[in-house]
Amino acid sequence: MTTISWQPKLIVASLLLALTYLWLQSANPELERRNRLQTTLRIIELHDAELMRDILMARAGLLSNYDALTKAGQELLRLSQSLRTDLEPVGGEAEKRLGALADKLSATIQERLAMIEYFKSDNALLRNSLMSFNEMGKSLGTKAKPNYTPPLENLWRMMLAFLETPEPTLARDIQLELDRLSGLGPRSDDDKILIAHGRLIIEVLPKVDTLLREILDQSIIVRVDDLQQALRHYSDAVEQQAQAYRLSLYLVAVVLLAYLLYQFAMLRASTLSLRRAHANLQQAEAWLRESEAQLRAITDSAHEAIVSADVAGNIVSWNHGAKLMFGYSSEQALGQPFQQLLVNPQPTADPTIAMQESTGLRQNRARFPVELSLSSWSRGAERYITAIIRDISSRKHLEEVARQQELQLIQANKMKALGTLVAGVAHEINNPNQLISLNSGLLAAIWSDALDILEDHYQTTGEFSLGGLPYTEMRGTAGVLIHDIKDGAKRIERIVAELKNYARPQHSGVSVAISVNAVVERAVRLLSHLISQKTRRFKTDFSAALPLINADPQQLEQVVVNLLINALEALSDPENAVSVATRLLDNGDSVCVEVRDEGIGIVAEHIEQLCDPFFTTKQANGGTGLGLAIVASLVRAHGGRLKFISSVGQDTCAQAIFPATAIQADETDYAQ
Amino acid sequence: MSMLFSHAYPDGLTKTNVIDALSHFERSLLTPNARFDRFLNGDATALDADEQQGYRLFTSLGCVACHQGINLGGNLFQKFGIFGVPQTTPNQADGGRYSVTGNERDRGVFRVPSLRNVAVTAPYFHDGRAANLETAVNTMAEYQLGKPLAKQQRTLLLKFLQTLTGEYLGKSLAVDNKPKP
Repeated sequence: MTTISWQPKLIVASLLLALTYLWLQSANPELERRNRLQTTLRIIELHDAELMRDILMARAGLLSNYDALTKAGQELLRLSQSLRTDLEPVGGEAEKRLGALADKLSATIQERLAMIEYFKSDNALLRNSLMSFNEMGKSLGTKAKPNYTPPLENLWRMMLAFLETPEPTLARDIQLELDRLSGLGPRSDDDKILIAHGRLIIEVLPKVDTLLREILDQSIIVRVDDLQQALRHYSDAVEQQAQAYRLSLYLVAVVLLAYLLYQFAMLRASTLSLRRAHANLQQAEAWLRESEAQLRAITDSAHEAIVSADVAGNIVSWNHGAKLMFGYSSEQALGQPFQQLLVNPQPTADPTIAMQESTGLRQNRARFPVELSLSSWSRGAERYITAIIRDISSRKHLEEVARQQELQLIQANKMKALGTLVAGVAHEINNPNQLISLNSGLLAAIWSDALDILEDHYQTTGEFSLGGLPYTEMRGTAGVLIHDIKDGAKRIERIVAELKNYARPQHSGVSVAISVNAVVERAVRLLSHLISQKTRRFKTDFSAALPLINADPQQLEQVVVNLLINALEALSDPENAVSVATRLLDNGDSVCVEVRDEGIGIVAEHIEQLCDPFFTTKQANGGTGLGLAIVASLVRAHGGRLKFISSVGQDTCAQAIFPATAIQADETDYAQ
Repeated sequence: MSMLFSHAYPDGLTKTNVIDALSHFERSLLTPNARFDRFLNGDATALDADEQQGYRLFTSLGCVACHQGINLGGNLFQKFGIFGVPQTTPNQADGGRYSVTGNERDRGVFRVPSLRNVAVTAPYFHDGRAANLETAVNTMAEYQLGKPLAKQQRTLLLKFLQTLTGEYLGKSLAVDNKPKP
C-alpha cells in the first residue's frame, strides 16, 4: 500500500520541480540586459552624433576648445568598453557573434578616436596657421612696400581660393608662389612667418580634410546598427526559447492540474466506495447485532443453562437459564472456574461424550441432578467448551414415580396371578386339609383309646419301641404331635381362607350408604376386650354431621378392625394411647377414618411395602403379612385410598379415606 | 607604507592596483581658483594690465590653438617642432606617442600639457630640457608657432602664465610672483 501512496507524491513532486525549472527558464533575464544594451547603443549613437557635430564645428573653427570633443570621445570609449564587458561571450553562437560585433564596434570607435586625435593635432596647426597667415597678411598689407603688394595680393587671392576649394592644382600654384616669394631675396621675419604658415596651410589643409572625410566615412552607426540587429536576433532567439519554455510550463501545469483532478476523482471514487463499504459494514453489523441479540434471546430463553468456558476452564458466557439454575448472576459467574458448578467434576470434561449425567451444585450448596451436553468449538486460536446443562430433578422424580407405578403394576399383576392361583389351588388344598383335620381328630381319639392299652402292655412287657422311639417318650409326645397336626391343618385352612379373601374379595354386592361412625363404633365394640387388654388410654373422636359413604358394612368393619388390631399390636406399653377419629376431608368430598397409635412406629422404608402381601414384621407372632394387603384391597375396591404417616418410636397414623356421598348421616341412625 | 597599501588593496601590489591608486590620487589634485579663473569669472581686477596684455598675446600669437580648454591644453597631441626641429636634447631617442601607437606619423608627437600651475612646475617639456619657463616659452614660440618673440612679448606672456597658478586644498601654490631665473 505504501508504494502505491508514494507514487502520486513522486509524480506531483517531479511535476512541481519541472514547473519551477521551466518557470525559471521562461523568465527572460535577457530582457533587462537587452534594454540596457539598446540604451547604451543609443547613447553611443548620440555621443557619436555629438562628436561629429563637434568635429565639423572644430573644422569650421567654431569650436573654442577640444574639451567637449575629448569628453565625448572618452565617453564613447567607456561605453564601448562597457558594451564589450556586457557582451563578453559566455557561450552560444549568437553570444559569440554579439561579442565579436561589440569588439568590432569598440575597435571602430578606438580607430575613430585615434583619427580624431590626428585631426585635432592637424586642425590646431591649421587654425593657428590660418590665423597667423591672416594676421600677418593684414599687418603686411598695412605697412607693405609698394613693390611687394602685387605678389602678396596674388598669394592672398590664391590662398582664399584654396581655402574655398582646396584643389591640388591651386595648392601647387600657391606653392610656386611661395617658392617665388622666398626666392626674392632676404625677407623680413614677418615675411618668413607668412611663407612658413602659408606652406603649412597648403600642406595641412588637405590632410585635415582627408582625415575629416575618413572620419565621416568611417561609420560607427553601421556598427551600432549591426550590433542592434544582432542583439535583436539574439533576443528574439532567447525570447523564442523562453516562449518554448513558457509553452512547456503551460503544458506541465495542465498535466499537473489534470493529474490532480484525476487523483481527486480517484479519491472521490474511493471515498464513495469506502462510504458504501461502511454502509454495508454497518448493515452487516446491525444484522450481526440482531442475530446476536436473537441468539442471546434464544440462549436466555432456554431453560437449560448454557455455559461456555475457555481451555483453562474459566467461564466466558453465562445465560439467564444458568442464572436461574445455579443462582449466580453473570457478573459473579464470569471468570470463575467451570468446575465449581459440579459436585464431582471430571478432571477434564470429555467433549466426545455428548451427553452425560452429573450432579450440579447451586449457589446455596444444594445438589441437583443435571444432564450435561458438552461441545467444543474454536474461535481463532482459542478453544472453548460449551455445556448445555439441564436440571433433571423433576424428570428424575417422575421417573421414580413411574418406576414405583411400574413396580406396583407388576405387584398388582403378581397379586392377580396369585389370586387366580389361590382360587384354583384353594379347593385342592382345602380338600386334603379337611381329611387331615378330620383324621387328626379321629387319630387323637384313637390315640387316647390306644394309650390305655399301650399302658397296660408297657406294664406287662416293659419298654417297647413306637416308631423308633421308646414308648415312655412317645407316651407324652404323640398326643401333642397329633394336636399339632390338627393345628397345622387349621392354620392351612385359615391361610387359604385369607388368601381367598385377599385375592378375590367377596363381593357381597351389598353396597349401601352407611354411616362411617356407626361402623367404627361396632368395630370398637367388637375389639373392646383386646383394647382394654392393650391400652388404658383409648379414645374415639367422631365427627358429627358426616356424609354417608357407599360401602359394604362387613368389609368396612373388617378394614377398621384390621387397622385397630395393627395399632394395638404396635403398642409396647399400655400407657401408650390409641385413638380412632372420623373426619371430613377435601372440602367434604371425602370421609376419613383415622387410627392413631403411640406405638413403635414404622420405618420409612417399610411404609411403601406395608400393603404388599406377605410383608410382615410379625412373622414370629403368627402374622401372615396379608392383613394390610387385604385392607388395602378392600379400600381400593370402595374407591378409596390408604395412607400411613409415621415416625419411628413415636406414633403412627393410618388413614382410610373414602369418597363421600351426598347423603347426610342421620344422627338418630348413628345413635343406635 | 606597504601595510597601508595592502589595507586599501587586499590583493597587494599589482599593476592594476598601482594604476588605480595613482589615478585616484591624481584625481584629487585639483587646483582651482587661479587668478586667471577669477578674471574669467568676471573679476576684472584679478589680472593687472600687463597680465591682461599677456593674455591677449597668448591668444593672438596662437598659443591658444593648442593650449585651449578648461585646462589650457592637455586635450590633444602635437608634434614637438612644427617649424624646424628643436635643439637636440638628452632624450633625443624618445619616440613620443610613436612608442604607444607605433604609427610613423606619431614619431616625436607628445601630449600638449596643461598650462595650469605652469609657473611652479619646472622643468619643462617631456624630457625636462627647459629648466625655466622663459626657455620653454621661447622654444614654444620658435618651433611651434614659428614666431620668435620680442622681449616685451615674452615678459608679458610670462606674466600671464604666472596667473595660472591655482590653489591646492585652499592654499595658493604660488611661491613667488616672479619667473624663476
